[in-house]
Amino acid sequence: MSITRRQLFTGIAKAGIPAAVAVTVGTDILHAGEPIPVPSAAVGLLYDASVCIGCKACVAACAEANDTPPDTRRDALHQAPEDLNDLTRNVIKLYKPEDGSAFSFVKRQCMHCLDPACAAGCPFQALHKNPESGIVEWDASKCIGCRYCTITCPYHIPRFQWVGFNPRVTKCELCKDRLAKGLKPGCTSVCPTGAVIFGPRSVLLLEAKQRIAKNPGRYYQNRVYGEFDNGGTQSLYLSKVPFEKLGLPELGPESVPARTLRWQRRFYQYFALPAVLYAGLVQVIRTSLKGHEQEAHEREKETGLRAQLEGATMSATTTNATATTRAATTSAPSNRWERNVPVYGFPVVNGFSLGLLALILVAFALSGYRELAGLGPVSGMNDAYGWGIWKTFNLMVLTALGSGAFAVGIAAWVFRRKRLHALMRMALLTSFLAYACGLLLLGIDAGRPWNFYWIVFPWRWNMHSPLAEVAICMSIYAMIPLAVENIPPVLERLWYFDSRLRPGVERIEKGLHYFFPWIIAAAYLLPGMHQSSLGALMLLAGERVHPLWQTPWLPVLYLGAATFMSFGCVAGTTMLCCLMWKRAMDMEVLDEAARITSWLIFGWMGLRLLDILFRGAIGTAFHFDRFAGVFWLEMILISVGALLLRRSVRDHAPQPMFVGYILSSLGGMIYRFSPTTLAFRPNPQALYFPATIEVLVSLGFISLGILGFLVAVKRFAILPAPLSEWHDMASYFRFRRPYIRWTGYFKYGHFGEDETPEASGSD
Amino acid sequence: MGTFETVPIHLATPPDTYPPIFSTEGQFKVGAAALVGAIAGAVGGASWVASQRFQSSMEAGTTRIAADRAHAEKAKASSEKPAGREKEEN
Repeated sequence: MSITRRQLFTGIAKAGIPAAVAVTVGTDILHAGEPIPVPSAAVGLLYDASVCIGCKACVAACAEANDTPPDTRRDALHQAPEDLNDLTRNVIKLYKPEDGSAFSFVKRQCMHCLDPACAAGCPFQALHKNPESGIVEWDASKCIGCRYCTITCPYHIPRFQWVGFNPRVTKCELCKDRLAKGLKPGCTSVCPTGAVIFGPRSVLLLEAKQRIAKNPGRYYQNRVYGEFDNGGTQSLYLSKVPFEKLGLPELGPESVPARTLRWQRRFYQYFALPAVLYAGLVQVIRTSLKGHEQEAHEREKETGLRAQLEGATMSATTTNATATTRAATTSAPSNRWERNVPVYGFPVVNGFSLGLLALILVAFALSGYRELAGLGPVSGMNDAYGWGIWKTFNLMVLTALGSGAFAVGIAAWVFRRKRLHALMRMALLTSFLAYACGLLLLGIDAGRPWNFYWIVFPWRWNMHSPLAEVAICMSIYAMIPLAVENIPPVLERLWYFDSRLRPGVERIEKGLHYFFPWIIAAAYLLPGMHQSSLGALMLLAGERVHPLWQTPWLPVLYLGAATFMSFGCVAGTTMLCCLMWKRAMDMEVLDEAARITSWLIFGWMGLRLLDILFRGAIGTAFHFDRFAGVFWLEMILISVGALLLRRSVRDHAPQPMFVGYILSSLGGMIYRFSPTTLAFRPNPQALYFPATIEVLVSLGFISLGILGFLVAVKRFAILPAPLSEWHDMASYFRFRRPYIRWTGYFKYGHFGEDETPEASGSD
Repeated sequence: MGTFETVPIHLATPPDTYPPIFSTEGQFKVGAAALVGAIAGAVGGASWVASQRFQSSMEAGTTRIAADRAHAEKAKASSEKPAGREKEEN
């Protein structure tokens, strides 16, 4: 009994989705609005800014208690840290308004939130909340040095050690070693005025409220900061000036993770929804695969290609069939892409590829230096901008361009846009290279890559962390489904170029064919998950991302941008290849791709603009600042790109199509780059600009992808071409037989021309 | 050996005793900016040149097919040569 797509979706809707929704959403509804539980023996600090005299005894005591050397980097003589850093877990700062009104000191250290964003984001639970004391602790053995904690903490507390090959994340852990010995934290043991005191959180709250009651009108809003703010913190503050002036943002009563990751947590709860989606995808793809194969066989029979493929030993019959086909194709040349044909007649090694190789070698050498020297000396990253272009460009932006295997594949297999099958191998190759290079660079970017082995221990994963989801999903996707999907061109090459390997190749093909629906379904589900999670990464950054970009829809918008950008990358690259190697362009396929891309863009832009309107953030788009500038640049590029694509579909013109892809992809790149960099506002005084070495390493890894692409299209049947191209490749190699025989490089004899078994044997 | 060493004091008082609430972090690097500009220019320029060449790419595609046809005809003629002669050539 066959099942139609409509029946399948109806079936899923009737049975699967309600079940999954009940499981994933139901439990959350039960817990909605409940306060975050306070650990049984929660301890903390109470800092009263109104009695702090700024003596900095706490700063010196902290350094002594934690055995950190004095931070004299600002001045060789004095211990005067400018901020929290790898040597400073506690600092006294001064708020001094220009108008001469009341000034205030403020002590900055970890807030020990009841629901800490740093721990919520930490992929392998290196940062975790002690279940008894509630102290947010850091475990060196689990930290991979991703610095996501520095991005997510709304108080900008965790700091990274930028120099050295074994960097640490530094933050106040309430002197847990001293607590174990029955001592108080260093800072509280020396304060001469009682400005900072230590104790159980409940006692500290009582003390704070007593101080407010005894001194009416002294404290700002008669409020204890941290009682409810950000879901509650274990470091509590009293101040006479607004808390925001002291660098304590107004975050509301709900914690940042609870507020921002609600949907992410529901979607991934028990993996119920992803499992339902996966099962549905497998069914759809099985049906599509069957139909597609049948059609392909019929088409091959029609063109004579089937006989040619099946009779590569070239019997008289197949030779005749080939001759007939050739006659047919030569008499009626067509641009229709029928097969994938390697780029032949162009050397793999040329000046351009050697230039790329040089850039790659430079990048590898600099990567080695980075491993020894640390991230600071080679990059422009700093405590405010913990992520540089290796993550924000090479990973966030380039994997979006490399999502073609996902976007084009779904259009071809699930939505049955059959013409797009011609682009599939290009999509798969570009995706594989973009992901492989992105993941390699992620390894270089990680401060403590040796701890990556935690990825194979699921019980160590932080299932609520978008970064864990990205790291796990992306690695599995690139190493299994995407790699397997790229095997057929390799098998095809082995089959054609060495007859001895054929039985083995056929056996592998049979096995692959059996598992293909499951592999393809995984290849669509996993990127859907991690490309949206790349957007969810910045949800945890909360108000630090500009409101034009910060939205609960960020995961959907990130995924949407990846789909249209990847269409642009696949179709644009194919067009460029056709131009470069003088291949005919099948405008029917390209029109179809452009049509889909333009509608994807219109849908995406509609969602983006409606979201901005409904959140009331549209006013910020008309401020005269860099954020508005970036927003309009991005919107103009994407919309002009989409309009050009529409025009190209109408006129069947490749030029506006190519320009449309370039502009829309560029706009999409700016969009994907913005939340982490251009629209990220960790601190009004902070700046990030990549260092020269950082740019060279980034360029080297992009070059690696380009070189990999050039080698692959020249060695494997990747680039789509008309059937005549296949025959011409056969002629090409036949004419060059002496040269090929001399080099022994190609076992050329299996292109289906007039090769005889004897001739093959003589090679 | 002396019991102490003198330290050259170049600043009698601490620099800025109390840092401000928001400290300055990161800096703009001219060399890196030039490199980024050069890469962006090269990519942009290459894209512009390519887009100009697409103007006539449709005709180029057709020409290519015509050339291929001629090439194929030549190949066909050559394949019709006696097998022995071909072997000699090889």
